[in-house]
Amino acid sequence: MSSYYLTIIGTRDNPLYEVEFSSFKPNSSSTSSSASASSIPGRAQFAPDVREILPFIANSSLDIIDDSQWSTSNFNLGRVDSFYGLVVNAFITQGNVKFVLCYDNVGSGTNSKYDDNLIRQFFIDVNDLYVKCLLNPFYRVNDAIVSPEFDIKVKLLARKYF
Amino acid sequence: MDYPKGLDPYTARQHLLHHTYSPLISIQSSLNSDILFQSILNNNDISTLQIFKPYGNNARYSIPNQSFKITNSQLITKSYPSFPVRFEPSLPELLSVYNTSSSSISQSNSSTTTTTSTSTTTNINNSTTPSGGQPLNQLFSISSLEVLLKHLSLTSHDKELYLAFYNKIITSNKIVPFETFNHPIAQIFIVDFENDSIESLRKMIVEFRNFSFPKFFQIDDLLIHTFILYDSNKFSTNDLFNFQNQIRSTLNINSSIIPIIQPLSNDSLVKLSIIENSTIEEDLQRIALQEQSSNSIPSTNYIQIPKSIDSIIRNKLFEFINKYLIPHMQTKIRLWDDQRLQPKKSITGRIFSVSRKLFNNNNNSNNNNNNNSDSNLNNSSNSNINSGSFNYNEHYYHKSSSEQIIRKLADWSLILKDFKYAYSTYDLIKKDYTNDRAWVYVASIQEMCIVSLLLAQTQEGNINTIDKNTLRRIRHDIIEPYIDNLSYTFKSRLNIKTYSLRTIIIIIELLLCISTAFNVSWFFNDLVERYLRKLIDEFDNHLSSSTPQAIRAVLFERLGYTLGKCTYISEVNLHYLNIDKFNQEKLPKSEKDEPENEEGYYHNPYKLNPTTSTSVTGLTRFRKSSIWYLLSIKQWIDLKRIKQIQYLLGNIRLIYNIDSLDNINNINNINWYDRNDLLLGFVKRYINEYETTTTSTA
Amino acid sequence: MSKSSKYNGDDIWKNNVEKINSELFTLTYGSVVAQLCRDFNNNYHEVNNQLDKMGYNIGLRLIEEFLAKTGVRRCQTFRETSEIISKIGFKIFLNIVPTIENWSSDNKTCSLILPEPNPLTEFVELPITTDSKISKELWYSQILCGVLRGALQMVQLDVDVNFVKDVLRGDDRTEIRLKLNKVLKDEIPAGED
Repeated sequence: MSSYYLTIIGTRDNPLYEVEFSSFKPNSSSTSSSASASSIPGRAQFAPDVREILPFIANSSLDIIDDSQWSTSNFNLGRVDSFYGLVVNAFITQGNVKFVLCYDNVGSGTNSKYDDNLIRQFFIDVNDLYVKCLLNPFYRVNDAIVSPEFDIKVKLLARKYF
Repeated sequence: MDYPKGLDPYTARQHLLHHTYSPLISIQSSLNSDILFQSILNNNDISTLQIFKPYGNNARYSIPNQSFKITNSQLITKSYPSFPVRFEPSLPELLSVYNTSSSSISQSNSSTTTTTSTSTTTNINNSTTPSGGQPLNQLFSISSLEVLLKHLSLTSHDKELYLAFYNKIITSNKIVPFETFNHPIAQIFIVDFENDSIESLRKMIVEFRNFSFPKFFQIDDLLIHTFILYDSNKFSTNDLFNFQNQIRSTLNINSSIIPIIQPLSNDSLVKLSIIENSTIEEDLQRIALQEQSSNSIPSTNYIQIPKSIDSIIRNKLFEFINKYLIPHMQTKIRLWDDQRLQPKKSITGRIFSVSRKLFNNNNNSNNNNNNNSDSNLNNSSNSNINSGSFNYNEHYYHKSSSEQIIRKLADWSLILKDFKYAYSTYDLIKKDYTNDRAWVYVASIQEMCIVSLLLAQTQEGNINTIDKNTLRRIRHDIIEPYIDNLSYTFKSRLNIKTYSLRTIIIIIELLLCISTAFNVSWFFNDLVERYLRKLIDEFDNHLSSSTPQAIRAVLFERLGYTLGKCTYISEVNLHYLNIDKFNQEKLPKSEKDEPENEEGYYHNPYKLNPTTSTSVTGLTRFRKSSIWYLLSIKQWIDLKRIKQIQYLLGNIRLIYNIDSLDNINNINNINWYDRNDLLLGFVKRYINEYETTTTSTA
Repeated sequence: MSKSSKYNGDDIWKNNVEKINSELFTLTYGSVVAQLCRDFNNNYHEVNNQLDKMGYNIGLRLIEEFLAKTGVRRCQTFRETSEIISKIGFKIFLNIVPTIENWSSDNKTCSLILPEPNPLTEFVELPITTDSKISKELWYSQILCGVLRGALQMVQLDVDVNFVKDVLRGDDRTEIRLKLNKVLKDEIPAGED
């Protein structure tokens, strides 16, 4: 069961939103019984020493994202980086806000093409949500996204895709 | 651009040449000369070797206007400001301290077992070659290194720690058959004119010569020399001149005279570091001794020598190196080049090597038999044609074999800084080793191929431009395959992975050198990063990965340095990379930064301003660098080394605001990275706490 | 009357109204509100007042447009007026039809329940987590009250209009309370006095 960490990073490298979750689908019959007993579905299972550096991992991959944005016209930058077993996928919006998804590649990911595709879809949907959020007159660019509505919708998307 | 701060790779390169690829000179002093020095220095524990050892580093302990003239294979003479040498005990002693493969070859198995137990490294030396021949020991003990590093981290800070780590890995006086850097080039006997007779000198030499040297070591190549200490107040130079002549006529060796006079009481003292070129085990022993007698001797890392004696020794050593050592090496190199290398390069040589390949098996079996039955048979025959000279049982080439001599030729020319010639020679002999399946030789030669190539590329005066094709060839045809191959050999075939660790760390520094020299960090950066992470993994495999480790911390630091220095900016645009500009961005906007409200203009405070570093967006790796520094800091926190943390914090100041330590408890003004549950916030609170407790106790 | 007017409302909406992009409309209004909040330093009572004033001024003019487009005649009762407001007024300007409930016994007070989605509040979310005051004090769509008050005043109706509930604040529905004070007898044209 993979754990995911999604963060939205503003134009000043400031995180606007972050969420951790794990894949909701029980991924294999052998581990599901033991895993589900010990864990709540959807609860990320990063080790404590990984948790405390997750935002830094995302921040450090901005270097690569900044670089790779010049070499592609896509907003989805795909797999840009990896850090100690964590894979980093990224998406960049027109407004230069970045979505960064870090996830450990345990269990799933036999078919990485398939994974990347899912993540691409996920990013596109999150982008829709983000644009809606931008349309809120009370929201200013680079403000933290604290809306519970947004949070719930992102989590629903996570549930849908992972 | 001095950010991030760290060890300059060129310093590392220099240390490599000083500590690893420098001539090793073994010293044997008579008891009387030891006593002489002891009486002068008023120190009964000191030996002549200890006094000479620091002077080997003539870059540090130099004489005015010194220059060393070296003629390379193209007969071009160049002067170098320094030419360090390493002083070590004489060969029999070196061999007995370490249970290297050599001793088991030269002596019977039973006699070596006693020396094994004295070596502190034996607990991890469970390695044996597949054939059950002599064991090849690890180059160094990882756990000892870790202990030493933890100790050093208490006192040293700044860039010293990584340098110390690096120095310890590249410094070794272990004698192995497959590389000759630690084989003594010269043997110096030191006698006291007043108390030692020519007879006692003769005895020393005979004793030395009678030692049963390992069969891969050619004693005929050794430059034997004598230093004669005398009191210039008591004896005239004439007496000495006679003595020197006598030595030359009866013993056929050259000598130098060193006048040693009782220093005047007002003679100033010169401080010498005695930890020059010390190995991990030597350091640990010294530290243990210091801890036992912690209060009686405040600092024993230094000895003090009267200025008059100091300058005499410096001058005499300079003379010896220029007059005897370098010419000796040059002569030998020319001789071997003539006798061994040129025939090999010629057409007949090539044909011969082909035919040899065809009849390889036959010759080998003969040779093996010879070696096993009577080891002296090969010894005496110097002129034999060295077909199939590789000893499969004990894994060495005989000292008189072309393979061993050409390797030595390449090593020596590397020492004399003729890197290109060394590279071509290594490259030439590599095939022979591969044909013989002499794996450890192959691995070592692969190492030296990369090293000599990179040294040549980064040699001063050789710096013009480098084209992409050369870069690509260096990387894809040489570095990558060789490193993979030699790591496999050292680690899996022979179970001596510390050798491959040393190789990798050397290559890393040389790659950093070439990156700065040609501004090509974009080309090698990922490779350096990969090798550093490989190193971390290797060390982690050995040490417990769950507990904090000083080795890991310094390697993380180096990763941070590597990435911080990495730019993808071409040379002409480098000025855009202005650190001060970066810094401004981190500062809170002050009032005067706001553009003035001109008549008729409305200033929108909500408008996003462009970053000042737009011109280099995506071309630096500062953020990546910072996370490695953070990880390094984390290790130091767990080890409670506040000095290291404070030093490393300076290396993340571009990315994270580290000055506002007091603001971290102010919820409204908090930066994301200062949050309580995140690493940096944790670090800052740790330092805050530390500072408040130290100020309250003070 | 009620049937024909409903027909009129749909018809006019379809054929006789210039339409603009709803997002542009929503964002414009949203920016106005957000800017007011900033200008008055998050004094939401004042923001409500300003919105109400703006609405009032719109209402004073809008009634002319309304009467010209619809040709509605004088209403006999306040009930009838409320029907017109809901089925024609809201329909042709905002394309929604609020329901009318909660009549008081004297037929002078009623509630307009705005259906969701409220075209003014699409995308809008009050930043409750950062500013808890906002959900208690700001009536985001207050401008509607001003419009109604202004327009009704032009047809001799003195009406109090105010919000009592708003979905934005987390209420179950959005409710505007109308209270008829009196019918103005004298035909003095009401200006911006």
